[in-house]
Amino acid sequence: MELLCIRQWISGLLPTWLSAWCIKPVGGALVRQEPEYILLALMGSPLKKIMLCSSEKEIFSVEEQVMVQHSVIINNMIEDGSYNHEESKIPLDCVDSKTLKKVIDYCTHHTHHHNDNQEDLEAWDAQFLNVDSNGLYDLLMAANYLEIRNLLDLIYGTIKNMIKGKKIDEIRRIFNIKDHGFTPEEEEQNRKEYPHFY
Amino acid sequence: MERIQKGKMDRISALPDSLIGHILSFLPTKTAVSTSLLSRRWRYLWQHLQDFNFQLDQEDEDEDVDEDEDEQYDLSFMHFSAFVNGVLAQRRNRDIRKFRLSSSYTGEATFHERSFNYWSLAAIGPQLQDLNLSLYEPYSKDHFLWFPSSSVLRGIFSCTSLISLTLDGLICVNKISSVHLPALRTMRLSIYRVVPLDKIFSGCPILEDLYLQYKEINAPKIIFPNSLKRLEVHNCKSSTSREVEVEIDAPALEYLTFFLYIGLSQLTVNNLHNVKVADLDLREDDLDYIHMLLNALNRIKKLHLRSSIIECILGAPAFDFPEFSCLLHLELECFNPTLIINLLYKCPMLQVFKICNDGQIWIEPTGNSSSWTPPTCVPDCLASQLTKIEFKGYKGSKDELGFIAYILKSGIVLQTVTVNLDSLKNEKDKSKKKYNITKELCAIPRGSNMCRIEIKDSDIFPSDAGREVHR
Repeated sequence: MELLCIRQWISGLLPTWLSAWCIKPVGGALVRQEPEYILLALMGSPLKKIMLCSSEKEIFSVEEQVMVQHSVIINNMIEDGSYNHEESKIPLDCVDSKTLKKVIDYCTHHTHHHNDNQEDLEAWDAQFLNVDSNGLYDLLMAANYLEIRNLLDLIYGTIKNMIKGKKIDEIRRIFNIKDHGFTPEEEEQNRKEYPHFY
Repeated sequence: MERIQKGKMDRISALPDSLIGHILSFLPTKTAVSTSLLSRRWRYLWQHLQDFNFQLDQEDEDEDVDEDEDEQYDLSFMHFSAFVNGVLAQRRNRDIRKFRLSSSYTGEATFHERSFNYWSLAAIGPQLQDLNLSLYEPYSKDHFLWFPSSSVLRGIFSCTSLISLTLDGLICVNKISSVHLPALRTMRLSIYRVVPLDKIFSGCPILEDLYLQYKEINAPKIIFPNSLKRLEVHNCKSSTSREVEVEIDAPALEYLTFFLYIGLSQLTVNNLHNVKVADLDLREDDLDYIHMLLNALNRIKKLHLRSSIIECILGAPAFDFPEFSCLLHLELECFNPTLIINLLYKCPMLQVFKICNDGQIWIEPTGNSSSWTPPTCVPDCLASQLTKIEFKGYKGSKDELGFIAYILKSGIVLQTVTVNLDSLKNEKDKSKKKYNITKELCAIPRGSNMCRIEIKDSDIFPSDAGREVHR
């Protein structure tokens, strides 16, 4: 809440033409540029930012340092110079806005809080993954596409715990595997041969 | 926490093969292979695994409980062996990336030995990055040892792709001829017999993380590699070896755990200024070595001194601690107020201090009167930095009470003082004692406005939640 007030205050400090620039159409999309960063840019100490574009054409502005630290793909793009800071945005057509925001949240938290102790970080991670199951898979695909190693490992760990130690019937129920595709004879054979798995 | 997908699609089966493969690689291989029973989609996915984790579960014993213990174990190993062979035969990927084997080893030597040799040879390959072999004895009998064949030893110790190597238990690696592990970063050795450490270290130029647990060292001298970032040495307390000469020169070292109970014939330490965290326990008569070690670690941020090293220090009337100018977190495994105060004088930036008095060090009983008088000069850290104190093993003696009173009075930036009363659990009248102690502690005047006393008592709160007493 305070951030909103501060932003409004800073917007108030900026000359009208500049604060109007805070929301402006760029190439058909709306660019969200937080006013505090414009102010910083005016003050001469810019936090280098990059723009990520979701599949729904929404643009997110993130600190370059944060994304470069976590995403191998983005790091490579910046390093080999295919990203031009002034004008271009990185299109991420397979990641929707909701998921992209979550991913940015994760990377930002882990960059800013990497000195925290292990328990606090783990607690935050557990809370972060408290999403519905669809969201979990969307996150997995996004983390895989962007090659964010620690987020991937985190999600794999969660899914692994959903499978480990459970019987086949239970796993089918948890993951909604309704039609197993075996013939009735095959299914019966499996149950006879490996009864302790069912 | 069970996450049931509410009447939606089966998204996990819709994931690409590579992602499912990754998920399977996190599971024990037995579970991974069992996913072939889930559905047609999953039937052959496990076969593309390159990471294997074979664990012989003791629960998998046969229902025939009448059988001999030996036979039971042998039977379960036979089943295990058939499973491992089946998996290795049906895998689609020739090259294994991670191989973990955890099994019992009994005197049924030939069958076990052959199995382990064949499995290790299957694992060794151009893509092997992580090898973890752990053999334990299933029941208390004489120690049998697996002597890997020469091709296995050669394969393991000249595997150029290997990044992490763990050898644990009943494995003997005496007969290594040469070591060439240019990619090895992590090594964990906790095997019973002697290990040719110098040969191994010389073949691991970029070793960063070393964990060494041993009983017998036959080598007279150990020179630890200077590429290390993390070093953990655990020497069993029941060792009977002679003294050993140790040399540590590791400018990149950040984490040091050093437990040595057999005495040092010589100690050389250099370039330990980057060590951030150290956990030390030495049984050493020559205090010069302890002095040297602590001096070399004087830029440390977190220090844990355990009972044996403190016992040695207490043996000297006036041990001169070096100045730990960066120390933020200190843990001591004893309660000796004189020693503690001496140490606090040397830690000007200390923020967290923990005492764990589990009775391992025998201190002269002082009867009912306190033999310790508080110092006149308050240590700097107490006056300006110390925010958190924890006292485990509090028994309520006069010395302990006097010490806590002094800390509470002089600690003007203290925020939390936690006292753990679990050591009283075997005393008679313990509830009364605990009540009295709690009353005493809360009555002490506190120098800090924010200070909060927390009493931890697992009798009342088994889940380790403390009962807080606010000001």
